[in-house]
Amino acid sequence: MTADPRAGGGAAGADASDTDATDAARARLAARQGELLTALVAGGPVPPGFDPAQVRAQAAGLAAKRRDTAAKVAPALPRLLGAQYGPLFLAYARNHPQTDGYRADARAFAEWALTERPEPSEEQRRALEQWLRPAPERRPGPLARLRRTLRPGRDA
Amino acid sequence: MTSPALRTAPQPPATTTGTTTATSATAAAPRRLGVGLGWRAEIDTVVERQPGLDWVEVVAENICGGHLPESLRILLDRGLTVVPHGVGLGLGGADRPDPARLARLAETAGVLGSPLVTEHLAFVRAGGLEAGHLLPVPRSRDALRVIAENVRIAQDQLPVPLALENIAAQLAWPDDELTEGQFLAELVERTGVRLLIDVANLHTNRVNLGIDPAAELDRLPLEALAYVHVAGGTMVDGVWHDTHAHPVTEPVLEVLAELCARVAPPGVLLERDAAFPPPAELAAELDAVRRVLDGGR
Repeated sequence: MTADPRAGGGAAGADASDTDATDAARARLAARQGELLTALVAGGPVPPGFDPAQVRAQAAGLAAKRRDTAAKVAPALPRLLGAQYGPLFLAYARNHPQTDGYRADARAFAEWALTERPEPSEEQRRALEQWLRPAPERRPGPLARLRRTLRPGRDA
Repeated sequence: MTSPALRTAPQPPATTTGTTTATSATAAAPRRLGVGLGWRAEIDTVVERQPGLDWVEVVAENICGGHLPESLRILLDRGLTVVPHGVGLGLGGADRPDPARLARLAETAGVLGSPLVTEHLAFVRAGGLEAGHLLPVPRSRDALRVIAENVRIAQDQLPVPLALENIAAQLAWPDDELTEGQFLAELVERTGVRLLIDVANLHTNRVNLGIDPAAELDRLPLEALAYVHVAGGTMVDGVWHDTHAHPVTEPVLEVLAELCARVAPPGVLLERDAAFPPPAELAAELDAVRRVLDGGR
């Protein structure tokens, strides 16, 4: 934690107290931002002084942005889940704040959609499973190749 | 309402001699960028074919220095300027900027040969949680001290000047002692950081938070202006959503005109992130921007 050389040309003592003051300001800022973000993405109470309607609007905006960004990095998910993707993602997001990047978020959502939500259809279950844990690619064996050649007109 | 002194501010020459002198970065006059469009992988060939495009901006986090998309290579070979625009650094956060993220941004700027990099006056994470988007900072004196230090740390690590963008917010902090314009002006004075002014965000904050864009523009040190963002959005239940997925609307162009009445912007960039329209529609939006810049609307 070195003092910024441009922070002031005074004595070392002045620089040190300047650094201390900035560190104290960092701690206060961290607490304030942490409180607000918890309210926005993790169901925490609206911190005192904020307009609850504004906090709700911002929270909804963040959730929608997160839903859309996850769909962008993992387009297979909205494709597999169809119209259910949006409502499902928002239901997931309500209790699972994002702590990492969007790819990790998309995977965590897929795991949740597979295991924790009520009744995914068998088709969706299979599709999600396959998306999460794709089988290693293998060259088709001799039997598969033979089957394919016996079905003219149906390209693999 | 206009300030003639700024209006007649001398413009830098359209071309610079040789390469940019990165070391005297903060003192350098703003480089003329012209009219640009946000490069996105989904519309790469559309961007390549836009007539009269001067430059592009890329989302910095989407670029991996070693593997530039072919389309960007083509644009660079053509001599277009490419500016990396960061969204994940969180310079408005309580922590010092992450050295790894900064190093990556610096590397991207180097690979692209960019004359500057841009980020936001925003925080994006706190207490182990990710916001996933840009959130407004409390504009207190306390926060100003922290963020000025964050900006200086970033400037020390970046090979080119840094510009900070005003954001679209849906909430106001009770801690606010300064307007966003005043806060940015303080940062400019303390750090020499430059400004990226998003006129769509000023419009968003006008609708959602009741700020006056003209008054905000009056408070901004526009001589530090690097370039301007323009984008479309939509109104839902009285709330403006700065979606970058809808056409640019007249009120946003009016804020751009307000800005142009004060200073000739070195560059303007149209952002479109989703629901991409046909190429001709993007071209028409760029033309609408050019008409505002020419003063004839």
